[in-house]
Amino acid sequence: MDLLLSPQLLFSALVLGSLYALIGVGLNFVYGTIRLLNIAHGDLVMIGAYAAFGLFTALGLSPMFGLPLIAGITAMIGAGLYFGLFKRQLENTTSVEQLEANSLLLFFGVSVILQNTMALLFTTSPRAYQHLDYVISIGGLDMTLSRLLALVVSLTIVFAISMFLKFSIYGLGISAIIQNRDAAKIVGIDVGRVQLGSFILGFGVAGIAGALVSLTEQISPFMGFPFTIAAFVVIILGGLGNISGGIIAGILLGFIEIYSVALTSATYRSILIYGVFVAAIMLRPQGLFGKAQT
Amino acid sequence: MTVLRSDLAFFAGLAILAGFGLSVGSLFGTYWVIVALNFAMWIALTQSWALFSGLTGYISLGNVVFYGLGAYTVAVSFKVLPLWVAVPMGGLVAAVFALMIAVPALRVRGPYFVILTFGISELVKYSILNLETYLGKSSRLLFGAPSAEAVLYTMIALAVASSVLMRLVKSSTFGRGLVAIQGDETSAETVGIPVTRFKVMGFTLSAFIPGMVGGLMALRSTYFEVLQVFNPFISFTIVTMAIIGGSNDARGPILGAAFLVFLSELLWSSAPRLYMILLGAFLIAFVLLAPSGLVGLLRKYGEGHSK
Amino acid sequence: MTLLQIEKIGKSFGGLRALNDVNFAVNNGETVGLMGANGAGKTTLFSIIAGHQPPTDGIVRFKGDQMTGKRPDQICHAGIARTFQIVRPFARMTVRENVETAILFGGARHASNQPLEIRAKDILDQVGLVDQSEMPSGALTLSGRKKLEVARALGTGPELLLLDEVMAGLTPAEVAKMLDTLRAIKADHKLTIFIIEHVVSTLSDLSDRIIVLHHGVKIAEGTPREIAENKDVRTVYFGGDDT
Repeated sequence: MDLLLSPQLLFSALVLGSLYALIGVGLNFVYGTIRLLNIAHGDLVMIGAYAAFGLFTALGLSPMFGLPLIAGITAMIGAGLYFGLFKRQLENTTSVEQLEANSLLLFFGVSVILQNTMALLFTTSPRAYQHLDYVISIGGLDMTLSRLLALVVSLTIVFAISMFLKFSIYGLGISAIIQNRDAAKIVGIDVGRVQLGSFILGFGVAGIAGALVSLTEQISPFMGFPFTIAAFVVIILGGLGNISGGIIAGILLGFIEIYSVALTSATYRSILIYGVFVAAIMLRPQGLFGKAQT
Repeated sequence: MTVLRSDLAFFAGLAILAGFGLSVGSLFGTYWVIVALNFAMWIALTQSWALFSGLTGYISLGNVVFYGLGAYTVAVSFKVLPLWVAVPMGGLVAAVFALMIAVPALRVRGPYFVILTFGISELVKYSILNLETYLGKSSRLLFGAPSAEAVLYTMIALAVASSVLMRLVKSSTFGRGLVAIQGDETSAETVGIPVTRFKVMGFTLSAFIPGMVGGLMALRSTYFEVLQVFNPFISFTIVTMAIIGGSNDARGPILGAAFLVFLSELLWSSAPRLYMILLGAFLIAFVLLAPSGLVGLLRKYGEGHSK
Repeated sequence: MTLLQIEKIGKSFGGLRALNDVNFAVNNGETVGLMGANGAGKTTLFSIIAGHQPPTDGIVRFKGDQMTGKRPDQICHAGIARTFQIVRPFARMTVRENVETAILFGGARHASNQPLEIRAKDILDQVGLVDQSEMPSGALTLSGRKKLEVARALGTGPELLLLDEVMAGLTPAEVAKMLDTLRAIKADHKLTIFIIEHVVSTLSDLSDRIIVLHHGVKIAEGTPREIAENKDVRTVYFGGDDT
């Protein structure tokens, strides 16, 4: 019982959950809005993590200040992929099913290429760096500054994005496209530009998430896949395109992971994650907050 | 009568390929036995994938689970059951598992099905891993397994069986129903196709041979290790081969398997990362430029010539 | 003789009542029109009859047998075929293969020993698509795809044909042709037709009887002439009873 109430555990769950929420938001841009099944999403998180690691070790630049640059790098990759692979697919594919199937295969190719290119360049050995690891104690809670920052920054960004989507013209354009692509075209929304925007934002957010992840754990070229899975759990449970649903689902997933591992044993972590994942799809494909279709 | 002639050509080609595979050991030596075994294994796995996913459009990213369950069955029953029982039993276990998950899994469509199949295969992997740890077996050694040749002969039989099965199903009424499901599931129901039953049957059928293949490969490597036989890389390779070869025609998986086995022989031992990068690049290139795969390219080339 | 019996059918989506206590019958050999504004529940009613959605209340009977609770493929085998307002051809199949598939799996699959191809061609000929037989179904024009919907439904060998706006979006000339086609296939296949159509004159032209739905409730039923003179219908359609 002490274990459950430990502020340490609560804090860990919040940090992980907020990172999951952030990663889920990124995927929501690309899958939730334009239906491209981005299974390379976690690999972009990995690229962001390496970018942060590289900036810090080579230039001594703190990831906190490097965030815009890191986001820029992954956003550029997103824009490149949009123009190189997906623009024509999005324009020419008439059925959503075909688009989803093709995008899955394309992103799978991208994922394999990213992982192995990074493994070729930086070897497969895990890396980590020491930064902002002063311990701050509040009450009975000891936390490193880096983790606290990861929590604060990811929540801030998620919140900023949800405000942006709610109140900006771009956000309205996105909601219009989710609801009806053809109608959106008719009322004069430049669908192509909104799609490009989704790529840039989605990939940029993944890069930021990666930089924050690199503050809290070791990084390696193959670290991305669990994050992809987590991101899908978050957007499925939270509901496609539903940012606030995603925040709740991300935090929930963080809590499930941290607490169940604490209560049982670390060896059950993967079973739990995939168990939640499978159960989410089989039992609540419409999300925790969506209505069941009859 | 062109249908008959093309059938004849297909079966003749298959027979020649199989005959060549059977004699490869005596002709070129042991190294080529291993290459032939690999080739036959990937044909059997990819044909089985195409039988369901190629025809219905339900892309499965978790077919390694069938392979792994077959391997596990053989490993657990090693020295308990005779091999001629254990290997088919591996197929049966995989098929029963497919049957069990089919109804809930096939209710979800499109991308959810894709990631669900992946999730299920990882869930089974980690569950068995924990079970083995609990039982105190980090890996199982299979002493006294049959020779590489014996495994090769059986594997060739499975490759031939899976190819013939794909060909027969494709041209059957059942196959037509599966293709209709890919075209439009709601319409398929409306014209009288028992959609759920067909999907469940197709999914179950596509699990049997991979289960046997997994059992055989466990014998071949003479030990069983969970992370190795449930490696998602196997699922990914199957899909890549099917896409590169073309997945709605029994010739496709053979061509796709040939292409990647060749590439892997060239690069895997010397430059595994490069091999993987090329695999990704080829996958992207085929999806974008030749969505019907090598078979589609051949067909186009053939039509160009007959004009 | 009653072929299709709709008994107290109701359907709710969440709090929304899409259909409420709908009762009527369609007799053997009739052509019955179903009329109503967008959102009146017409397509929902079709989906319930064809088994794509379960009703919240009520029973659908076909030739006296209960259809409610059966799957769409079983209902097809019982002799009910439907078309879709938003056309749904089998992608990656030719026009002919689309119809062949319907013949292979439909209720009349054992009805004839003729080769599949001939049976499909006959049907395509009747709907005026025979020249496009070998085209990929996706390459057809809208009017072609509407015809394919009808051809595929016919392929299953139905007794009752549910047609959902098969003439929407067609040019007047195409509509006239489709009307002829429908009359011809009705006589030839001894069909009963239950049809949704937006254009009142087209529907009146074709139907023996018309049923009017408004906000999920049946507000009128009668011959086209009776419907044209019905006060409730006029109120709903033309706003106010001063006309």
